[in-house]
Amino acid sequence: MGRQIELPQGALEMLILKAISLGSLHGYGILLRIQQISGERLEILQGSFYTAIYRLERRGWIAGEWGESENNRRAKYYRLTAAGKRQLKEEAAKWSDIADVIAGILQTKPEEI
Amino acid sequence: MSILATLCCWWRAIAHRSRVNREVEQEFQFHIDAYANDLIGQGVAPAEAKRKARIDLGRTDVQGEKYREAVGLRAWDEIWCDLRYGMRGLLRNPGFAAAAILSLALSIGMATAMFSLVHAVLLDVYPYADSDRTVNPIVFDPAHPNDWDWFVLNRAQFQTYRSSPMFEDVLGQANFTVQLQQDDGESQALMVALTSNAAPFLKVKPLIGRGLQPSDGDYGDPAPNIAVLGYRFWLKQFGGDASVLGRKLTFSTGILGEKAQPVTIVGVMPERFTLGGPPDFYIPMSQVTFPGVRIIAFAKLKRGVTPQQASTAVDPMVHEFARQDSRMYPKVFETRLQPLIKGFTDRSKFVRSLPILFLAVAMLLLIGCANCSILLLARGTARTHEFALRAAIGASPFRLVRQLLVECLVISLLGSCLGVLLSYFLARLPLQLADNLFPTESVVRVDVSVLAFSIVVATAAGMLFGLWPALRFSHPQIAQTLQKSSRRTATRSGQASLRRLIGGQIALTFVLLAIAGAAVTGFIHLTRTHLGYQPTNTTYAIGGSPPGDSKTWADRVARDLHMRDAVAAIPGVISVSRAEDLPPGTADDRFPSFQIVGDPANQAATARQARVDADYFSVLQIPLVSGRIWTEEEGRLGLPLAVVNQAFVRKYSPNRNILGRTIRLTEIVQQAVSFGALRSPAFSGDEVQVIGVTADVVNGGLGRPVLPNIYININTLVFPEAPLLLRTQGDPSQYTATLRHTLHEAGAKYIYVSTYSLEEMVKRDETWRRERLTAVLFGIFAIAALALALVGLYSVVAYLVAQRTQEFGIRLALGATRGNILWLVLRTNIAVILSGTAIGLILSLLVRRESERWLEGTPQTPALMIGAAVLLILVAIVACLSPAARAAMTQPNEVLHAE
Repeated sequence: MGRQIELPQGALEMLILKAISLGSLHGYGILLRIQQISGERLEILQGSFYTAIYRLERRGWIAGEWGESENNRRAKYYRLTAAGKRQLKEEAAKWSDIADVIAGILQTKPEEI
Repeated sequence: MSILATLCCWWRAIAHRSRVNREVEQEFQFHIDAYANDLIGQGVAPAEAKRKARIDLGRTDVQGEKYREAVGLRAWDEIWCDLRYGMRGLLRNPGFAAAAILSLALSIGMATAMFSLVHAVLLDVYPYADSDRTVNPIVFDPAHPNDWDWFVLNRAQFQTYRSSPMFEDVLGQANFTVQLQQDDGESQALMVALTSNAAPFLKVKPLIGRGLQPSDGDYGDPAPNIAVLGYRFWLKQFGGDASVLGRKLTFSTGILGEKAQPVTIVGVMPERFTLGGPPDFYIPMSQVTFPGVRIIAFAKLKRGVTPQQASTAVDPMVHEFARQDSRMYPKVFETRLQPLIKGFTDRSKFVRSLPILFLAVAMLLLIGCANCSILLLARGTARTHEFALRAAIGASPFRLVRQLLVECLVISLLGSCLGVLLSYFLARLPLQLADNLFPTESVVRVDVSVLAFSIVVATAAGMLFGLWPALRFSHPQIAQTLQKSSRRTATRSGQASLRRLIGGQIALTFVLLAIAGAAVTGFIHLTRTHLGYQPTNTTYAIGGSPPGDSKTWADRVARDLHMRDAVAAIPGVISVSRAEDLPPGTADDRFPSFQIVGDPANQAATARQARVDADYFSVLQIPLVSGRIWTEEEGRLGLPLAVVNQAFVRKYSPNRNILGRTIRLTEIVQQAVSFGALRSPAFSGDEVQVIGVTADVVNGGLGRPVLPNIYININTLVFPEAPLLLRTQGDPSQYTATLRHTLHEAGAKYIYVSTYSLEEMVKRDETWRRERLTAVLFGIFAIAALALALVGLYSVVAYLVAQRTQEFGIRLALGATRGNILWLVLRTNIAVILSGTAIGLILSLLVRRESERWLEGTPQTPALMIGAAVLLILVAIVACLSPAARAAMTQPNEVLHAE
């Protein structure tokens, strides 16, 4: 387990989109998957998690449907909509761009300037 | 895409609130349970796991709210709560709510009515397509550009006019009066013939059946013998029966000639389609066989062509028309094409009084808003405790302001709903009181623009009256207010602003009262005008025959006398005269010139000139002042004799005896001859001799100076038509059928019987109608303003008294008399009333000149001002008395015990 990371603005939403792009999940499942993929390094605040889910649903990027969970309980499963897929693609591209640029700047050595 | 999804989401959250809430809670509960299960899996004891899950994740029952906040519905929810809270508050104080809502309903109703009226008579009058580009040709003397007149074209001229490249299309209209034969006898109807392009030109859909269509044909085409009814005629004659289609209209005599074919009704036009009248029915031009048809032309300008360009282009053409037939044109003139509405606005004095009507409505709206402000201030002061409490537990000033404004909007929107209802009836009043002052297309209707206007006014009013109290109460002094044990002590600052509002209301009310007083007294004065003649039970008829029927002067005189004698023999007819002069006349006529022989030539000498017989003066009971009237014998011989009125003497012959003088009447004689009149053998020159002077009669419209008048012996010039003026026993309208029958028997080929008696013509006089309308409108405004101001005053005094009950109790306990208390309450209010009236007086004097200019003939005299002031002060003091008496009746021990 590495260092704990706090998420910057908007990142949680992108992570949720990414998490369900691999297959539909219920809320708790999304949380677990993000933590699992990040190697338990992300601390997601409970308060902001569902707010993010609700917002994504309002924008029509994810759609919820009621289904059965592993232990036979009713749970709401979210899947990515077409608009959500587009959004994820755009966001991901933007993030990697930002990450590249910032990494590039940070790795600059004094003699290169 | 995203917006659509958001709207769907909001819709679900609002419309299926409980289901969405339940689902959100279920989902969250599942999350908690799943987390607890995982904890159990990690070895935590089940009870402890559930506890930890709840602590970590929070409560399920607030998740619904979090959901609504996350999707952005928080503001909506809050405003909705404010709204419900506001409504509950209103229901708890029905007296306050009713006073506020009714105050606003009254003032918004008046404002909306005013707007509907202007909308109906000015802004959106015509239902015809492109009516903004549709123009009428008029001619005017360049020396008097405002004194213009319409003109008509003959068929060839119409074809020429139609071909002008300035016009996209030209519609021709010809009006006829015809005799309809019906089951219950004959009646007169106004018929309008339209050229075949009427439907594509006007683009108005018929109400039922079909309208005129191009295939119905123009002059010379085969006649389909059809008619399309006008709405009003359809209602009056057929009771609005849809089965009227297919029925036939049959004519007796009429301008269409004896062989007029019956026509089949094929449709009915809607209410606002009243082109040319409103006529009773429309026919295609192909059914007109009358060769001398006169056509009124409506032209639709090509897009991009201005009326000025088009006027310049058609001017030479119209001058050519004038060379062909000069009768309808001034000697020197220019042509102007003007939009349809100009015919109304240029000649309507009502349009001129619109600014003052708007001013009055604005004042009324201010008074209504002030009332609501007063009520809100009063109620808000009673609610200070509530506001302090809300602020203490965390409400922001913004939240408090919003709460108060939402309540105001509830009041003002409810008020505007009632106001729109009220306006529907109010706005129709002017059209009912004075139908002839407005374009016939005007129909008051509640449509989108009227509703939008009302809502805008209501919202603006709500903000206007609500914002100030709201801002005042949004920063409550929490500690002070909450510590106060009693809510029954007066606050000085609140009283001052209330007094200012009341004073302002009273001032505005005074201004309205003064204008209303002037309008009402002006109208009463007008109704008492000395007419100079006796209009009771007098009416007018014309019997005519084609010019060819009586070719000589003697034939015509014999025929006219025969018709007169036949009418005189009708039982119930008291007296008959042959005369073409009908008082009270109108103001805007142009009069022919004349020349007193022996005087220096005077081009500007003009006078009314009318042909009458000797009995005219006895029928109308016009007294003779000096000289004599020609005898029956002189009259029959057509001797060139005339009498003049006193106004004529005053203007043209003040210092000498007019009797025996000779007047040359070249212009009127030429005019009469060109219209087919025949001269008597005795009247070979153009000169008549004045043998008498009669008393003045109102002849230029009511409320106007009497115009110089020359009465000429009717037999000097006889027309194909014989005009008859008669006095009957009882209402002349019951003689209509008999008159028509008698004239027909006496050989008249076409007959006109006036629908209105001379008495009704006085009441249809434009000035009479307008002054009555202004009197009624301002009367309503003033009464409404007075009622509003009194409600405001009453509620303020009642509120202040309630606030000070404790103080009164103490005063009484300490020995004040009830009279002292009464005076204590009245004193300040009387001061407010007096100063309000004084300000009103000053305002009145400021707007006085303007209002007198706008409302012609209604001077605001000092007596009127004093009367209005006394009335206002007395009524206002009476309004204060009842709450003041209640204060004086305070029982000291009850009040002090209650503490």
